[in-house]
Amino acid sequence: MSEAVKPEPDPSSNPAPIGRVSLRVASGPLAGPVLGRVASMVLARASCPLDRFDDALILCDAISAYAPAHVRDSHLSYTLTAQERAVELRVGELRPGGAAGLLEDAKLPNVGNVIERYSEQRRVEQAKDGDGEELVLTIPFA
Amino acid sequence: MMPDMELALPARAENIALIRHAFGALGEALAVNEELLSDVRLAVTEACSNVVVHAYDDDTPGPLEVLATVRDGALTVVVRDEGPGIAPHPDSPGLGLGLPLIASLAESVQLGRDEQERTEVCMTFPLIDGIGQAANPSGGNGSAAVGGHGAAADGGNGSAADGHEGASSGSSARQGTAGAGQDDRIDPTSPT
Repeated sequence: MSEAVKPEPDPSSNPAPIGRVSLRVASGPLAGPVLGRVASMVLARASCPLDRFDDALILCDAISAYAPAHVRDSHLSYTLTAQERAVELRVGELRPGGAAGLLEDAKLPNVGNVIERYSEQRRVEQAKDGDGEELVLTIPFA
Repeated sequence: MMPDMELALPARAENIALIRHAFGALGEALAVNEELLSDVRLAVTEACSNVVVHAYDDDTPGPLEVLATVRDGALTVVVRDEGPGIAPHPDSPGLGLGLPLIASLAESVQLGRDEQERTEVCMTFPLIDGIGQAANPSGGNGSAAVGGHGAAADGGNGSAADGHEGASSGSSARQGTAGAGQDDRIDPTSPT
C-alpha cells in the first residue's frame, strides 16, 4: 500500500508576514523612495488589497514629504508592523510638537487631511528615549 | 557617523527581497548607475543570505541589520547579525562562493565584530563620477560622487572607508571570528 503524499504548501497562497521592520533614514531625498519601497513590501506580504495599497502609498508619500520639517535632528525613523488586516506605522524622531505639526501640514486645500483620510487610530507617543515624540497610526485594509 | 539608511528586521529569507527593494530605492534616489547598483544589491543579498542561512537556528530567526552610508564618494554597507560569527561551514548547502563574490563586487570588504560583539560584514563601493552621480542623501545640493576610484576586480585593493584595514588578497587569513575582537579581520577572498 502506498503512503499518501502530503502536498507541499503553496507559499504564495499564504505568505508569511514580514514581522516588524524598522527603518531609519536621512531626512533628504532618500526618505520618500525608501519608505515607499519598504512599505510596499510589508503591505504586500500582509495581503493588503490593491485599492488600499495605493492609499497606503499616498499616505507614505505625504508623511515623507511633511515629516522632515518636524524631525528632532537629521533622521526619520519608521517602524512598520503587520497586524490583522492592517499595518501599524510608527513615525519617529519627531521633535516635541512635531506630530501635531506633521498632521497640520498634511491638510491640503480641497482635499482635506491626507494622513487623517488614509489612516486610523492615530496617537502621539513619547519617544522611547524620552526626547521627542512618535506619531503612531494604523493603515487599515478593510 | 550616522548611516543614511538603516534597516532592522527578522533574518528570514523572504525579507531579503525587502532589503533589495530598499537598496533599489536608495540607488535611484542617489542616481547610482545601474551596473553599480546591481553589484551592490547582489553583494548585499549574498551577505544577508549568509545571515539567514548561518547566523541563527532555523526556527528562531534573530535580528538582521543593514546600514548604508554615502560619504566621500563611496557607499559603505554594513550587514550585521547577532549570530556566533563567521566560520567555515563544510556542511553548507551552498558552493561557498558568497564571500569571494562579495569581495569581487566591492572595492573593500571587512569581516569582524562591532563593539557589541555583533558580527559585521562591511562593504565599500566607489561611486564613480561620470557613471553614477550621487546626490547628498542628507538633502544638500552637493554631489557626493568623486572620480579616481575603480572597483578592484579582486576586491582586495580598495581602502577601507572607516579607517580600518581593508581586506586584501593574499594576506594570511585568520578563519573564524567567534570571540574575535574589533581588529580581528579575516580575508574573505581566501577559500574556506
